[in-house]
Amino acid sequence: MKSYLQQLENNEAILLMYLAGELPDADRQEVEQMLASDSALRHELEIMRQTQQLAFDALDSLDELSRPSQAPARAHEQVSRLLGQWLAKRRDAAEQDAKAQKIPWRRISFAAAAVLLVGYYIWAVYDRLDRRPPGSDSGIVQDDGTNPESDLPYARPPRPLSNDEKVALLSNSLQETSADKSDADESEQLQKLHVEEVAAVIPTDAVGPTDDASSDSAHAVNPGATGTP
Amino acid sequence: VDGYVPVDDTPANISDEMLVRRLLAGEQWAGDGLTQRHCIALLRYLQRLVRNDQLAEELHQQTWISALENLDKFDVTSGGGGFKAWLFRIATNKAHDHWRSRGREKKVKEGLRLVTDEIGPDASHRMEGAEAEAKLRAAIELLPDNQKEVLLMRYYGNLKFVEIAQMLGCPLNTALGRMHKAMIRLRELLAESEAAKRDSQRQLG
Repeated sequence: MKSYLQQLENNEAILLMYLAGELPDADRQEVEQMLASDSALRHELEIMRQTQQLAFDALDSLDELSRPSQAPARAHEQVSRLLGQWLAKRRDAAEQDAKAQKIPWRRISFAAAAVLLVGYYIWAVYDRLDRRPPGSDSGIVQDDGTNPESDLPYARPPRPLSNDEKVALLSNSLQETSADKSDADESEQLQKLHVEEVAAVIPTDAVGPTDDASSDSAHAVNPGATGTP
Repeated sequence: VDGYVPVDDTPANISDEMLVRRLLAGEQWAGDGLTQRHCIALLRYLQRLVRNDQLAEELHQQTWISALENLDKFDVTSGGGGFKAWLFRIATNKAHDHWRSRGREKKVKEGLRLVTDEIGPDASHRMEGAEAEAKLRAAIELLPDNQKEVLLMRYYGNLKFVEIAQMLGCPLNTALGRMHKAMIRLRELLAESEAAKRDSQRQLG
């Protein structure tokens, strides 16, 4: 505790602080030493004690002599009422604040779920694109829906052909068709030759008209025709 | 009821500052404890300071309203003398505000107010008590305001001189000087009053 003796200007101040019991222990002991050795100071202290007592007694008497009044009881009642109102107001304000600051968990949950769904969808699309091997854009798809350049099942439909590719495919198709046609002509010629050989062995009138060019038709002799004129 | 003293049922070992904390936490018993401890002393202080019971009640109420509204700002650690000193400072400021606002009217109404204070209810009292009260009241009212403030804060608030000096914003020596002068002046006024009474009795005898 800091010392007051150095800053107190006069004896009255020191003695008032001493009487009030506000001096720290070291200061109080010093004052008591001074009082023990100084009778004038002791007298001054006694006068001051009496004067202070007189002033306090005067105020005490005034309180006792004051006219009967409802003031203290009424004042206490008023303050109690004020206190109740203040507490109620404070509780209301706290509730309002709590409502205002309450975290809307339901809304946040829905929003988070929506974000997760959208995020997952985007991730899935990009992941599928990223997993396609380089060159898989060739659009070559086998009959079973797999990409021959990829070991993964690839159900992607073939991409539209360019004009050049269409021309190339068409010319290939025509070549295949012409090859098939030449085979058919050869077969027909052989069949004709076979018919001619049969005709040479069998008389012409004994043989019915052949409307079927197949080889089986050669054996399809009409039994009824045998006796037919 | 004269001499009404509310029962302070809060444990003495609970400090005002602890009660303030509990009150801020919404516990009404703490507020009741604070009002029970300081309500009447504060009212008496204001009654003596403004010399008007009705005005004192009004200022008393204003003081508590202001204290409650600013309770969040009350700093226990500020070293300003605790809750009681803070409460008395608010009350003193309220009285000063009142005096400032009434400054113009004061001079005109002073004489009338003093007259009306002295008559009326006092007349229905015991003459002896009324006479003594009038003398004491007059002696205290004759003290300069700055001296009276320190004396009343010391008596009703039981505040330390250091706290009073902080409240009034003056040096400690000034607060002590005012207290000393108030005591001396009061003693002189009471002595004059006693002398006047003796003279009048002698003349009658």
